[in-house]
Amino acid sequence: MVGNLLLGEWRKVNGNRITTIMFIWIAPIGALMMMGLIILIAAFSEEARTNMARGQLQPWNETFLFGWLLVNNEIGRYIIAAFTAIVFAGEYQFGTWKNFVPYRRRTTLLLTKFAVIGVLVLVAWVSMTLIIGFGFLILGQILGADSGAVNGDILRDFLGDYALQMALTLSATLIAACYAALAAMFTRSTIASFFVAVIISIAETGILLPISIIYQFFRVNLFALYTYTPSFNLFNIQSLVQSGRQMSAPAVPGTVTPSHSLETSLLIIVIWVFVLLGVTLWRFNRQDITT
Amino acid sequence: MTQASAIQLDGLTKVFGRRKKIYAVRDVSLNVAPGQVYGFLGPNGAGKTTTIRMLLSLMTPSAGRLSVFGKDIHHDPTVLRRVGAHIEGAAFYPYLSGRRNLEVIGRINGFYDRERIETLLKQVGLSERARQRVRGYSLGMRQRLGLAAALVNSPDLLIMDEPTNGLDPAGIQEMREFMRELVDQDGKTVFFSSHLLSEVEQTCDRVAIINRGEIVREGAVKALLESGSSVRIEVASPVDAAAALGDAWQSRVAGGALVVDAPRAHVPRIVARLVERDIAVYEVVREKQTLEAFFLDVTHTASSDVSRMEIAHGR
Repeated sequence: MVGNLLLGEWRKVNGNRITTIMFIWIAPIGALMMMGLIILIAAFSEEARTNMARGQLQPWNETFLFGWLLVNNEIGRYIIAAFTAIVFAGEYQFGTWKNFVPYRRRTTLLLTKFAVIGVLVLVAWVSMTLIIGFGFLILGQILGADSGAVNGDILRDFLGDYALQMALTLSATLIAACYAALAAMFTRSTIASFFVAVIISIAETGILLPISIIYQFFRVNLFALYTYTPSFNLFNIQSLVQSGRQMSAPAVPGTVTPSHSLETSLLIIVIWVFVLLGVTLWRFNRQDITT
Repeated sequence: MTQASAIQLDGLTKVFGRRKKIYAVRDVSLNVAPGQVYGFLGPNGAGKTTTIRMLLSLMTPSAGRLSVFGKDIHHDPTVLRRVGAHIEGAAFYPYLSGRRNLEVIGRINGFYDRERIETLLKQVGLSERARQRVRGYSLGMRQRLGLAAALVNSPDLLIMDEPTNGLDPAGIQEMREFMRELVDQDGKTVFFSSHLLSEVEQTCDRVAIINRGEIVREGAVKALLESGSSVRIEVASPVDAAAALGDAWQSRVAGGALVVDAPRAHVPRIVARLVERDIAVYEVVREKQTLEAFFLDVTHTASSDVSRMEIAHGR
């Protein structure tokens, strides 16, 4: 039953080839083409091999995590927001909710969609990181470079970091999906949802502007508020994982806005995910399906 | 044990707007017995689609109760699994093929059966085009696919909103036969709205006419038409004949003949009364009312009544 539901949703979402390729599958496809090109050049050009060998290759655990840096950032979140907006608004635009809403509890319907989008993004992003990781391993072999040691401790650390990156992607996807779903419910238009979802994602960082204005005019320091946004905490987690340092928060000159520990940032993200999911489900359950 | 109604609506109401309230549907009560084709008629904006949407739990009623096969859909929405629906034009994912669309609908709703989908595609004449993307389908093909989608779950009750829109005459004929077959051979119930009154007249067992959100007439098609029928009588003196009938029947003189508003069963009594009064009767022709004339008559009368009420209430 659940398998059928998930497979049906997967066929529906992934069946929109142009959208999924343009926003999601482009990452592994691009990675494959790029790595393929680099490997081909290294394989057939002596000069290229010499040049590449001069630059030191990162150890295998770094190269396998490298791909996440390309997507777990602001641009990656905007892409996910745009993609999910198209997926959600499509149901309104095509008038297809009416095919499912009468037979399915709306909560189940929406959660399935979130799950499928989350899995789709994860599968694509994981594929990309694996392509990049294995690509560099092959490149290392061609160049005769050392790809780094493999032992229990390194592997354990690597798997922990990798899992955390996956969790970050999933959290960012769910948050973006909630924004997109809410935008689609209110606008019922693909283009409008696309822009609204991206604008909401940008607005998280954008709140620094009103905070600065409020400080300029009223001398009220609200910079700590920014440290509770999803964006800040996703960046903070990323920074803690990569460099072990907390992300510094914007502050009034001469002062410091306290940042958060890894645990606090994770907790804030989890709270955001649950609150946004709750609001989205509440809104969807109350909505009249008129298109 | 009495069989539960296929559809039961009690005081169903839907109000839009908070400050300026607009009643899309007002106090609608209906009872659709199982095993019949039931027509739901009304002019544009009468409240047909809103009623159907509430019936399918797509919209929440502002007041009233809805039950399907004896179960309140608000408390037990699982009963909707016995319902197939085709609402306001068929809606599909244009980037998927016809077959894949049916698969997606089936899987998500928990009714997926590959053989059933192939049978339905054959039944609606889309087997050859099933691999083509829906984007390239004509309106008629989409309607056929919509019918297949509504039947994916082998429903006991089929609810259709304007199912013949976009179909050519042959398609309309097929749809009509299909609906009758579902009821007569498979014992299903069909509830559908339509603007094609001649179709409704030929297909339905019972009809409800909705106007401005309220039911203005409901009953068996035959009885409704009978109630609005008249008899044209050629007599020597239509004025004397009208006087002879008195207040027993509504009558008028038209085109040199007497026209009496009366059902077929009253004809012998009318003729007997005229003969008793020594009025020579030369010809009696029963003027059967069409559903279209009946529909226009009742919706016009209802609209006039509502307008008068609005004036009286100073709205």
